[in-house]
Amino acid sequence: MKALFFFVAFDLFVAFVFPVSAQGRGAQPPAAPRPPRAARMEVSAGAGFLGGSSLGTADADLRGRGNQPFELFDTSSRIGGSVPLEVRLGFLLGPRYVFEIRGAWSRPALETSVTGDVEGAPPVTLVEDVDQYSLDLGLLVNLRPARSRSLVPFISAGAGYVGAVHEGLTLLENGISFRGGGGLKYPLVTGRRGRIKGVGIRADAALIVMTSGLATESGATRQVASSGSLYFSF
Amino acid sequence: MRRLLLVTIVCAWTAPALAYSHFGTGVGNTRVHWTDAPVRWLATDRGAPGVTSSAFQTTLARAFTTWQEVPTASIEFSFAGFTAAEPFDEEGLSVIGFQAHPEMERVLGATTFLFDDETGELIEADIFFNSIFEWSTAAAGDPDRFDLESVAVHEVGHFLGLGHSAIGETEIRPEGGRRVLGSGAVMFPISLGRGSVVDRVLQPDDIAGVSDLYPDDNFENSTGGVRGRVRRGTGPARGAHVIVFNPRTQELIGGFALGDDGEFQILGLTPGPYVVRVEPLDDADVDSFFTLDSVDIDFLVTYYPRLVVAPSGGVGGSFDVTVRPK
Repeated sequence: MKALFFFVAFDLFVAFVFPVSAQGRGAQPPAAPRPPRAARMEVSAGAGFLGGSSLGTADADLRGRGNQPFELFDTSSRIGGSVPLEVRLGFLLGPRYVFEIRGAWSRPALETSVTGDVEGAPPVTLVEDVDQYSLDLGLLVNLRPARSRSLVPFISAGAGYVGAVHEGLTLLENGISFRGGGGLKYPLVTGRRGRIKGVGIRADAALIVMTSGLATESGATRQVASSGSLYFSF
Repeated sequence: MRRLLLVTIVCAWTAPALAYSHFGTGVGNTRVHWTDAPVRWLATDRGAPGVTSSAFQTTLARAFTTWQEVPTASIEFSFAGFTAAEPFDEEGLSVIGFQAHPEMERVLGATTFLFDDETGELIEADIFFNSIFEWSTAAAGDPDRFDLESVAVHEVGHFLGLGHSAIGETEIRPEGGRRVLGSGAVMFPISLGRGSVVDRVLQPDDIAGVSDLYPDDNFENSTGGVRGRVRRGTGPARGAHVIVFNPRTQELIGGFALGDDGEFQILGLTPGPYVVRVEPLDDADVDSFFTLDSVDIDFLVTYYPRLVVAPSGGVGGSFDVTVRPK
């Protein structure tokens, strides 16, 4: 999946560069200047940080005397923080609205701490690395029109699939994620002619709520995510 | 060569403990089990003080139903009527009833098997409940009596071919024997005592055991397993008790390192990550259960340092748990 991301980025780079340089070589007769066509799509790629989240506590209880549980040991589980790589493909629905498809990959650690063993075993934290993939659909709303070299705040929300593959490809767990947040775009170039209409950077911050999958059966995980991306509009 | 073996397995209220296993573990690794369904059973036509024969039969029927209703297992029972025959008579009938055995002052009940030691096919299984104790069939139990249904569910587990589970903790009683502090399976060999009715309800360890022995069509696809070895130094820690715990479902299921190289395998797990804990069998007299030449109990409780994943429809890769001597 990582390789796929690189291929996409490389392919886009070729697509962006080749037509631009080809235009420069052509000997076209002079024509009346036309206003540049507005951008219709945005593609971004970047990385960030996905915060950890508690998965709750669980006691390994035996059935004790007098209907009281007898604890064999206690556990507390969490998903560790991770560095996700993400790509977005956005379709501009107007000057302010963007329909986005977002894909991300990260490798968080699944951690379970064991304490209070009845036979005195020392506390220990057990770890497993999981590959977490997500694909979601969402809407981004620019809160003001994009202008070169000026910040454009936006809000965004989306929902989609999240899958976790355990170590050794032993098990795939499927879940649903909901994402809401916002951020800032900083267009570096706007209104270009040619295939690439603009280039900029964006920073995102979001709250991601995940149900099922790695989440506990009775609850949901909440993770804070932030990322920085380079985007191209064309 | 085929032989018919008669073996007795007892349930006590102060007795040694071992862990979830199939009964055949100790008999040449034969899986002792019924091959034809429904399995017919008969009840003796007499009760015991406080228990009529009708109440006895009704209570036993509930115990059989408890096992029959395990969703991932496929086994059926049929009550074939009352009989004047006695448990432990070898007449080809599976008879369940009360008997007075004062010499077994700590034994609540016992199950005997007659089976083919080559195929593991059960021919007959009898259960007796020791009428020297006071029994109750009250819905909520009786604090001064042993709950017949709880002990019956345990004995029917043996009747099916299950051995004892070691998921439990005990302490030595000053007057001898052991007292249960906590039990994680109906098949734990020591009763929680008078008044307790908790063993009317099967635990994950019991369900995994019976499902592995009598799997329904979906059992293998819907569950997974873990396997590994327990090592101490360069050799195996044979007989070590391995418990796996699922933090999401809070299921506790156990097994033993019974292979020549300390191998174990635990099946019937809900797919997901598990905590693996290895402990010595020091809550019990292990000789009362295993036929191993030697069982290693001289090591510390040890957790495997990684979470271990039970895949869906398969068994995960093998791993080694290395334990340290006490």
